[in-house]
Amino acid sequence: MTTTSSAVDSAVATGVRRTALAGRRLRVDRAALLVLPAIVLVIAVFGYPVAEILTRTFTFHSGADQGFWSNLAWYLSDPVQRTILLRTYATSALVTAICLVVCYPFAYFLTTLKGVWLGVAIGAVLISSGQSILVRTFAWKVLLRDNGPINSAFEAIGIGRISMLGTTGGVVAAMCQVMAPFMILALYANMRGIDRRYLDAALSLGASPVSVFCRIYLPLSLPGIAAGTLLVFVISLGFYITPAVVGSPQNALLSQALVDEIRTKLDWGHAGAMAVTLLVLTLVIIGSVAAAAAKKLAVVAGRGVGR
Amino acid sequence: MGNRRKLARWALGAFSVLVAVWLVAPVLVMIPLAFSGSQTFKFPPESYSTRWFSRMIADTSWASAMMNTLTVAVIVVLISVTAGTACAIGLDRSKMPGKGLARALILAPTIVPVVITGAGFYIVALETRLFGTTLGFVAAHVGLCMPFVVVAVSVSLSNFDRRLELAAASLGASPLTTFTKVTLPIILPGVIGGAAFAFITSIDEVVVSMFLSTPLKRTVPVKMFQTVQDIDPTIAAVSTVILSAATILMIVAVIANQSGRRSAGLAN
Amino acid sequence: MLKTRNNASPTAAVVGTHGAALSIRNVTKSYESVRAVDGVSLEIEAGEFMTFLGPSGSGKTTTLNMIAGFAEVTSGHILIDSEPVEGLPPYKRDIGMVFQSYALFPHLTVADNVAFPLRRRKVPKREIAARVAEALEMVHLGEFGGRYPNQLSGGQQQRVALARAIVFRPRVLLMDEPLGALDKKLREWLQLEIKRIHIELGITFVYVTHDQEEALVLSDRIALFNNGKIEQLGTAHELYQSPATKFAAEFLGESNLFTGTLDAAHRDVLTDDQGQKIRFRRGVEHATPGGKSTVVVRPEMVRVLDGAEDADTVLSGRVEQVIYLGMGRRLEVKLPGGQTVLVREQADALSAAQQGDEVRIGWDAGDARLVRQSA
Repeated sequence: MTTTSSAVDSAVATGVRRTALAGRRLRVDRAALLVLPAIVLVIAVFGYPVAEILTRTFTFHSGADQGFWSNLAWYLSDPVQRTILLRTYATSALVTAICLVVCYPFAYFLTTLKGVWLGVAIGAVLISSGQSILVRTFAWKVLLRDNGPINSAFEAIGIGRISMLGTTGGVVAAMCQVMAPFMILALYANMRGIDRRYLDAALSLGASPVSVFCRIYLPLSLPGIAAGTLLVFVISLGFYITPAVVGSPQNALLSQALVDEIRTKLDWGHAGAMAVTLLVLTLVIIGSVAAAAAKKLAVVAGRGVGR
Repeated sequence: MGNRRKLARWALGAFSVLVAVWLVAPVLVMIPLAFSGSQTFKFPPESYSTRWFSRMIADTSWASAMMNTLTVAVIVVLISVTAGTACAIGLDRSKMPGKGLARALILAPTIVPVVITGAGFYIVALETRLFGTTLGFVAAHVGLCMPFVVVAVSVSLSNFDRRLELAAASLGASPLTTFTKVTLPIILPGVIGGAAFAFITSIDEVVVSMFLSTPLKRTVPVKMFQTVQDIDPTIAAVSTVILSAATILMIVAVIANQSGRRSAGLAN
Repeated sequence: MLKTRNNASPTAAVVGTHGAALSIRNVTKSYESVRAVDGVSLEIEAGEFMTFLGPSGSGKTTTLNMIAGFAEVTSGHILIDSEPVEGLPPYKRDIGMVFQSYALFPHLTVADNVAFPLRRRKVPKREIAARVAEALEMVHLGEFGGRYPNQLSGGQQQRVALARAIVFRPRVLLMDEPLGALDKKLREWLQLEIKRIHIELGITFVYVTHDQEEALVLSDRIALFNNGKIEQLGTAHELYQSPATKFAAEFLGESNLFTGTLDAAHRDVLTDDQGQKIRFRRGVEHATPGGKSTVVVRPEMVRVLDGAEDADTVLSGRVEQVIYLGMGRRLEVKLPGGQTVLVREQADALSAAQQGDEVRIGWDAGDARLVRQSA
């Protein structure tokens, strides 16, 4: 039996909290019960449907090949699907890259604002992002029309009309703006915490502004960059609305192909294979970035999760 | 060196203004178009009228879609708020070992691409005849909307000083009274904020709702989505209505968040 | 069970018994392998101001929490006015509690905070308003009813917490280091306010603190906690003048300790490790002739002897440090054996000793006490 002060202190603190109100052991279990309805709901309305589509990959076979893996084999070998997958990857990567390049300076600019202007700027971002993705997509559909405002402006300048709707370029342009708020918020959340005095210190030590940015600010903003690019890339991979409205079946992305398999071709097996691929890709990307971030965090915090 | 810095700052400012315009522009395009006098999408409109709004209100298919959307959203919010708040409290107080897993499960619908969830729902709907039913839409939205409530309430709870509950007990309040008179009023801003986001998410949901919709019963986003051949700016009018509603709700959520931070002010 | 009644609690005798008597019988609190409270027994009289004093982790707060009902008793009994309360949840025990963090409800006004316990007890509305006003007057915050807690200073918030805890006339008021978060001057003023309210109300106060000065100012009796047990129980005077153990001697005030062997022949002499003969007050039971023990002398009892002046115990040494304290001086005198003796002189009785002087110091046997080693 030890009676050392610190052991007592921590044991007391946990103990008092645990037995506080009802004075009975039941308190802990009662709290766990509160979680139950939500869990049951999620399993019923989310877990079950997702499981259904994923298992169809292995149980539903439309063609001659009835093998367990036949759907996945089809998906991985079919050239059309491969084109779609590559196109999806390329689009997502392009959107992420453009978003990053455009939003990074903007997010930085936000950190330099004070007072009223900050509220206005944040307001603009919030209002834009809080709006229905559908509405914003429709706005782009209007904007990109052959006789829409952008083409009218092009005509006025002398470039002439460009067909943008139904092209991958149009999809990329629209998706960039739709995704931008996510990127901005992720970047800003991180940049806000960067102490400007680091930069002042570096400048006072004789570093040029360019090297201050490259060697100090950029590395410090890396967590925000990682979060933002992860967010935008992963959402873009599985994105349906904007590509479906602004794009066309000829340049369909993975999500559009999936919907097509389900609703038009009624091929649950093929759709399942696509869903499995998409889900695995999503989880792998999230998982690896999270793992890398955790490792980095451990290093920064000093020798792993010691004490 | 000073001039170069100033120039750089000006360039950054100008660029940022452009970006801000780019962010808000599409929205700003929709609104004037909604009031356009002509049937084309010419921008800027040559004349103005409100006939697209009257047409929207008169069109029974829009009206019924709006009814459906609102009904579903209200039910979804009610379910999300009760189950979600209880869940957040449970996760905050309980010491059960599976807590992290439970939290991940609750948030999973926001990570898994919606098309997958939608496809799965389609298959389930085939078996259970949920197409075009309020129950179907509610079931589809709950998983997607509840995480917002759980997260918002969790944040509120993390700012909540538990010693207030001890004090209430010492003053004669039973556990139930303590919850209703002390805990709930203080975390209410989180609940309201979460409810607002859940509502916006529900009236905005397209993909899964699309799988469940029938020509007889669908939600506004689905109807908008299916109005492929947009022959007139009615769709702009509908968008404007949604924009306004969402903006108001966002302001509500932000105000709730601010007042929440004030009222959670810890006693020490 | 320790119960010394040399000085009866003055306030309880004057005001009467609106408060409850508390009986703590052999109470133990274990957390897994740790015993936070180890067989503590204590009788608190109705209307008394009892302080639980001790370092952190000594078990004083845990004991208080058990009285309040926030911690379960592992074994033993707690009785309030002869009724056992171990099974009762805190909201049924009719006790008031003041926390170090004030714990005022931020979403209610000051008045609503104070009214909270009355509303729980279904007191009629008109009466609530009157009693809230009365409670706020008692803590000199009558005008603050409409404010919110975050508009008040720390000291004001604590006074509101106090008003809230007494407005429903509990039989017992528990206070868990309520002044810990406040600055010194405010603490001192509030200590006197708390004492005044105690006298006015006449209810039993149980006060937890680690600040021994605070305990000396406020209490009728002090229970000194150490390692989960009560080291000594008594009035402030008793604890200060006759500390029972080395721990007690060192925790309250400053002390000079001499450890050595008890003289076999003379029962009131200790030969310390340096061979010096220390005389102490006779009559403490646990002195085994020939055994090891410790004698404590308070610095105020030590004086610098001039000329041929004599005392029961005389030691020689050199003044290492002189510190001027305003109301007196504090001298550190180093003995040949290496030990330092502390001497406190009052302003009206200063000796001529200065730093560097060789001096003789001494005290009367009656001012020295034998102590137990810590339990």
